Amino acid sequence: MVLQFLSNAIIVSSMYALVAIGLTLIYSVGGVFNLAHGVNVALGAWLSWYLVANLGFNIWVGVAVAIAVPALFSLAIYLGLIRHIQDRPIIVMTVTLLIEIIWEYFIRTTVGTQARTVPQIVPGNVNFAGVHLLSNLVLAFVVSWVIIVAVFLFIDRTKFGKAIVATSMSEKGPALVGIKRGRVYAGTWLIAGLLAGIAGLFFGSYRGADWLVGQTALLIAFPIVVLGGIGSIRGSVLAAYIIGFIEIGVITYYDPRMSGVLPFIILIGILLVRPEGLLGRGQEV
Amino acid sequence: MSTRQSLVDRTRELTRDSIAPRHLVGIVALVVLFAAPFELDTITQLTVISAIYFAIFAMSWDTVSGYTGQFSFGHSFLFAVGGYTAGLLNLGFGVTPVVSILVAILVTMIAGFVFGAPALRLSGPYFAVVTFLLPLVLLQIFILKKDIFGGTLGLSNPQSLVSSSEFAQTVFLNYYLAAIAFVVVLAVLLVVTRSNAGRVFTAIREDEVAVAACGINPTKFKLFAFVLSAAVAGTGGALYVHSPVGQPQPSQLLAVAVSINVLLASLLGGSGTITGAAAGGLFYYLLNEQIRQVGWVIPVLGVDVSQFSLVIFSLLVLALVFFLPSGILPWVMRQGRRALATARGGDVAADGGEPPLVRTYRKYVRELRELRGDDDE
Repeated sequence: MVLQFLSNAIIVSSMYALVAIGLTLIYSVGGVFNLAHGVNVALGAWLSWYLVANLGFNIWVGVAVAIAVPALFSLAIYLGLIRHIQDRPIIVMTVTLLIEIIWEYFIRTTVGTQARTVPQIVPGNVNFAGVHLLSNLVLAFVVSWVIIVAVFLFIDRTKFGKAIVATSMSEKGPALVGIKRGRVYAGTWLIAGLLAGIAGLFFGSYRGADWLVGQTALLIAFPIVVLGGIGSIRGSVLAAYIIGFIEIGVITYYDPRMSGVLPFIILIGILLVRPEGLLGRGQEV
Repeated sequence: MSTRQSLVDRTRELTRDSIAPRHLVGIVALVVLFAAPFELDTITQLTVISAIYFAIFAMSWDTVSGYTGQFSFGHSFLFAVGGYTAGLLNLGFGVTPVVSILVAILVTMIAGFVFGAPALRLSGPYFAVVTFLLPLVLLQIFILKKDIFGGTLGLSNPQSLVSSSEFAQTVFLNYYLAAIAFVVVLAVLLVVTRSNAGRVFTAIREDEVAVAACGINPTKFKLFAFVLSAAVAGTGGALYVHSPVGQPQPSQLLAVAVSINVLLASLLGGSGTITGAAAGGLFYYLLNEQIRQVGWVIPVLGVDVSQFSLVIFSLLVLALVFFLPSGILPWVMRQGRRALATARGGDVAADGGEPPLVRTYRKYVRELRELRGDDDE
């Protein structure tokens, strides 16, 4: 029971981290909250369902599309809409929220409110020290951590990664050394969409895809991002584990119905007590 | 050269100076609102009652979000606190509607204070996040305590505040109740927002630091706006559940769609104007109903257009944000002023459509310059 709980929590938290990293990346660089981030997750889940379970494509075709489309969608949202309004964070929130709403209603009217099963990339179970785990979830864990490490390396080691850090720190500095801000913003939106699409693939097969799957993912990612300190990727990963453990713990040991409330109550508490989060830079909020 | 002719001219001049055309439009609209039930059938009256309460909700949103710029993404939290308090008091404890409504307003104001005070310390996106989550938490509590709050289905219909033995007459009375509430709320909010407090609200929206630098405490004014907004939300919510059209149900008072609809209606009408929210709310709700009734089918998807109304309005507001960010009503007024100035044959928009304060300021600057010019000589 305890082992089962621990392994579940560790796996689910790593998926949450993927969603949260994208959100925090966009915020740290652009200073805006992307409420349409849930759409990327939902796209990942729904596309793999549609292509594989509905149209009968090979699973890897589904995977490829479910990763590529959210990334491109996120980039398109940035280039088409957000680029023009990013100096007004509240308007950005309103616009992205409307995109989320449009998406939700689109799914609700075309597919319905019933949840669909997103196909697993690797079927079957794994037995590990007496713990039953779905192979797909183990894959989710491995993939998530590969990506998390890759993101860290990308940020720390590559030129573009350093440009991202620089842009998140100052507005004028990067411009002085020739960093093109627009390109950095677009890059973060692309990466965020990519990570969310991958997370959606696994999140969809773990929870099932319904019309609110994007909102669900977003509402989990929010407390994580805020707890970790908005803009801190390390903090987001850490917070993903804290929130994931609390959530799975409540579901396993207390009352599954509480799972929807607790993260929000934690979030509201954090915002009121320590708005800069665990590892945040303590900026003026 | 007849005296009669000059008298007509004189009258025209007087009315033109004392009543601006936009006020005339507003008064005509209110007269139409009050005369309408004599022309409308009962079903339509019911629709308009709902529209009026929706407009009250929109005004409530505009008071805090449109004016101080603290965007609330979950104003339905306040509507639900008002509506559910009134409903529970009436259904559970048999409290008469008048008392339950008054208590509900008070409770909503307290809720506004308790949640507003800490939340308003957070600025911009953080405030929006907290307000976005509040109704979701409340809904989860309603679901958890299903025996008290009725879960996702809500409560049954509480007693009507005004009723008669005949249904048509009940609706008629409720129409006037709603219309009077609408006018009272509109008047109170107009008075407050056109006072100095309203100017501080707008200043906070534009630059909070500058307001603080003037020695005015922005948090105090934001909280005032929020509690005032809560009072209006509570009034609307409580009256709504005590009318034949509304029940204390999440889908009517608490759902995300409710908050979004209110936000969209206010943005469409023109946020930060109160009148824009009032007109936008009425227009939005009635248009929504109209869309539902025509029953067009979207060709490719094969679904009824009414299911897509929120999407349609969302797209509309998306377009608005980019092409007409101040909203429809302020735009209409600007166009009207320009047309009026042209019609009067004067210098086109001599005052440039500026508010009196700015005009006065410019006058002083001009006079000051002349004075200084004299000194130089």
